[in-house]
Amino acid sequence: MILTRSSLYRGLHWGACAILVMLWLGAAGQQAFSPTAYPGVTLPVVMATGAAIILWCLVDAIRTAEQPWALRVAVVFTFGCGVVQWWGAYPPSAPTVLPPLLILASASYGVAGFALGPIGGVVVSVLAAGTIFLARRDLLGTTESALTALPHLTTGCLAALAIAIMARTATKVETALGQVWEERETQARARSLSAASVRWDSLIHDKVLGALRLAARARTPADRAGAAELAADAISSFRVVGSPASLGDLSDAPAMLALVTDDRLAEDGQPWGGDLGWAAPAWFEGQLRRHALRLGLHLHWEVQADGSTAILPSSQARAVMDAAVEALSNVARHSGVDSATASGAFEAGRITLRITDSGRGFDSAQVGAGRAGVSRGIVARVAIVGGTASVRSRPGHGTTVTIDVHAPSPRGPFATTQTWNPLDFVAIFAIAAVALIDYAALALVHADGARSLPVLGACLVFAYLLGTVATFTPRRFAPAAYAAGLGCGVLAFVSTVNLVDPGQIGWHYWFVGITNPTIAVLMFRFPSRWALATVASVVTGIALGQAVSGGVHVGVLVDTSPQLIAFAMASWGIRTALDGATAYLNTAAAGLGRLRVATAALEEADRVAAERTRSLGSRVEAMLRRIAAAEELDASDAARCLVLEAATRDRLVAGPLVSPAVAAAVQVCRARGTTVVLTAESPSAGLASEAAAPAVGPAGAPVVEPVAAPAAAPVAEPAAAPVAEEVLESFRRVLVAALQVAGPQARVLARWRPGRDRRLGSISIVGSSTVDRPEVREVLQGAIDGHLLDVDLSIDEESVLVDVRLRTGVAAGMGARTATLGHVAEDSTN
Amino acid sequence: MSTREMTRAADSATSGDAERGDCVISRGRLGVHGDLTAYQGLSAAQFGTSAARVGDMATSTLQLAVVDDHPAILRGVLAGLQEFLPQLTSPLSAATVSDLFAALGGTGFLDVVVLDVQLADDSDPASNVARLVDAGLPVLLYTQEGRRSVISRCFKAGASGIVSKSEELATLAAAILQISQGQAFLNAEWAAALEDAEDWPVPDLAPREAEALRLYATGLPMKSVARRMQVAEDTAKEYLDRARQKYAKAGRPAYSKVDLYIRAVEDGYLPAPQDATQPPLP
Repeated sequence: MILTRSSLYRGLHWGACAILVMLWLGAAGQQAFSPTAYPGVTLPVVMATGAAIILWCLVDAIRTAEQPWALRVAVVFTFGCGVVQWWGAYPPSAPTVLPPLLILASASYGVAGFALGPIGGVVVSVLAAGTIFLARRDLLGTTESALTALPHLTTGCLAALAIAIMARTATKVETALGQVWEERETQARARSLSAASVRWDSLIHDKVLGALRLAARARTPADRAGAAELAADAISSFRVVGSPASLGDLSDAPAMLALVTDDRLAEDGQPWGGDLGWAAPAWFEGQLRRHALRLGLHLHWEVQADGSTAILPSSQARAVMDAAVEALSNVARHSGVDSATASGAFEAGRITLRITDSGRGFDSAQVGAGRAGVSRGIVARVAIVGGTASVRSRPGHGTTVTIDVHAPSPRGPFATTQTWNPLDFVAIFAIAAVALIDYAALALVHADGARSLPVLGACLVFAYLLGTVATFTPRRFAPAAYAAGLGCGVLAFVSTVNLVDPGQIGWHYWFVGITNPTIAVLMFRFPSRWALATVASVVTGIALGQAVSGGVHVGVLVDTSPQLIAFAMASWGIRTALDGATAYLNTAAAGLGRLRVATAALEEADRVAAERTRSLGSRVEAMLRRIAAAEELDASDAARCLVLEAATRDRLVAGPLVSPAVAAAVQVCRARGTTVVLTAESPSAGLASEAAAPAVGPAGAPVVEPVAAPAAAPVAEPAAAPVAEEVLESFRRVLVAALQVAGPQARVLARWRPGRDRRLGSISIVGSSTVDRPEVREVLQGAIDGHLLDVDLSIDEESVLVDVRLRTGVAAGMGARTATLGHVAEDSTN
Repeated sequence: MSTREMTRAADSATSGDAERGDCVISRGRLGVHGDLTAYQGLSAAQFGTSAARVGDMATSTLQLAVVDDHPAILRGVLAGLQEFLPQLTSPLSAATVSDLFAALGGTGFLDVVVLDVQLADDSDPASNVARLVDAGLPVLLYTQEGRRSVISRCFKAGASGIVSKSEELATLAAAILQISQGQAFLNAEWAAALEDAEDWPVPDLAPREAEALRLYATGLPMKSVARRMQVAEDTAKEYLDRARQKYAKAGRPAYSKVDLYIRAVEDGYLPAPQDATQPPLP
């Protein structure tokens, strides 16, 4: 948020300072060439004060002060100058000359829109225009004075309006971007959560359980060493609660980004931004280097990136990545050399990547349908996302794989097309039209200053034509800009020649004012050099016109030029602010967003790690440390390891099912020699880890004996209806009963697996030792809660099967969860 | 033709089971399924005699590879396995499927690849299975992975069986032996993965077949399943095998758009992508 405002305001701040400087210079120049009679040191004092204020403004701009106090003071000061001029009624050298103080006064409305806000700008414009009107009324007469004051008013209002529009657009963009990044962050969190859960669980499966198992069965020092390795690995992955270095205030994006290195960000192999479409050259380089390292290749990176980041949809980025990796694999496998070069270019919207090696090559012309890896894989992958790839090779001359992908036209917040819409400026054009009419009126009022009325009329029409051309020709049609620029010069020339007295300053030079809107439009719609060229051509036109008529009057030029330049610079400032803000916004917000997403992902991952570490329990950790120290374990320790391993596995694989009662019953049962296998899944577990919905990991179970641990905060299940917990509890009771009756050497497999047809799960006991017991049926029947469960109990000579269903008619809480299974799991590789 | 291809051709002649990319060769009659009770608690010595029950051993040496991301686990497993399977000669071990292919070289042949589902390079398990299956290597999943969807996708991609890491090594050995003989290793976990697999619908699964699958998934031995269904044990096995075949037919081991595209090109449904015309390298 802060970034948007500051980038926009920075541009405007500098623009305002530029206007002040221009007008100050204009005033000084005006006084030099056409001095107004000021008493004593009045003007020098004013100019000096003005200079000091301007310096202050510049300092403010450099400091990027939040509140533009210097500019506000400037507004007041310059307005004051206008009032002073009115009050003092200091006579200018000619009635039509704008006294320096009034030139300074015009700075007030130029800057007020920014310094005081849009409404302040309008108010100041009215006041300033009024002051100018009043100051010149005696000299010029009411009508003329009003007509000359009007352009000041319209300019001031235009400036205020422009600023209001820009601020509004900036907010719009900010909000939209903010929202987008919120969503991305949520998704990233969810993805990271599920990915981290999976990763953590497999970590535990492999390393913790593996270490415990290996340690229990270790017979040789080599075995113990292996177990120690695993255990040490597991321990190093544990996270202390309250972990990652706080990333603090995110306003200093570059510093923050430096904290979170690309290596860590790129761990999950996602192009940064996931679906968002970042394809940073750094990411490509990092990933390719990793792959090259793994393949035992040396990779020379010679890809040019022009500083902008190629923005591609992630499917394209991934395709390029996959194809490049495949190319590298081929180098490793077939080329016979161990180095490859990556070259090409990353530009906005386009990636060209070439992987070259100088190995033994092959005859690429011959290979067609055969070699899947070489031609098919690479070419096909890239073709599918709309790019092209080619593999060129000659025996003995190495191989080049070229991948070329264009981005489709950018959309959404990443569009580098302007965020401001020409339609936003309808109001501005409307005001400009008013200004044009005003100038036309001035021209006609001063028709007596012209040699020939028809020429005057023609020039007026021509001026309108120029404005129309500048406004409405399509932007690609650059000749329009040349034409407008040239035309303005011609207009200036002709009109000057048409003047009766080119040396006379005043509103005879109406055509200078009338080109201002044209210049402004040129500045917005075409590259800025055209607007500046137009200014130059107008000045040249005037000078030439004067020269032809009899002599160049520098005073006139000095009088008219600053206005042109100030107008051009103001437009340029506004446009640069808009363009710069857009581009900067995109980059910075994307960078910031990237950081946010990365942070969110890392936070989630760390949170999962911390939770899981906690839920593992201190006893497991203690045992692991002993194993990691390669301690020799005696028989009872080994047995402990196996018990811990089984209990940990139960909690991981059958979390929801394992309550303290269940865990205790399992332990007793196993001590008897029975094999007990538990599995449990929540209905959404299978779906959520693939889909992009907030995932539900296997819920951390509450405290379990003997592996005591503080109760792990379980990852909340979405809308678990209270009925669901009761049902699960009744299932547990049946399970405990089954565990009690299971005989030695039996095998118990209990599954909690809500599914179709109101099925909840099953418990099977296989082994004749169980079946032989008469009380089996009784005990099991006794444990069944008839209100909630519908149980099928079948006993044959070798096995007992308890098939558990939800009783028909029981609440929809379970039903809703069962219904989620109706969703087809989204294919995560799409 | 390689031995593998000949065997496959011969088998398809007898059982009509030639699925592209499906390396589970069905021999027209059901072999012994993974009956866990038979292998529980067996020591290596006892295992030797039980192994004779499995049927004629087509190979006197067994070429095995284990793909698991932790060397210590690999070592433990391999050492243990050699006790049960003396015909196991210099098993390969690799941390990722890519590493395995690199170690194997272009024309390597393996009887079985024991594949850990979650590997350190975060590769998609089903993709790993598919790559191996496409290369003609039978895959035995070795994992603690509980997520049904992941396992069912692995089976869909053509895996031949699954053994839980917490099971005894004897079970793993039995599974390896069976798969090396071209049979599928069917056990409760396999049945549980197929049962109700949402992304693997089999439209014509007969009710008896589904019931057999369901009962088997609860952990009951084949005899008990047959008894509860009131059929002979062989019939129950038949139901299971038919279900397996239907699932195999319904699940083309193509798991990403790119592979579908490549498959389609290979099958001739889509034209091959044209190589861009460029001047040859100097």
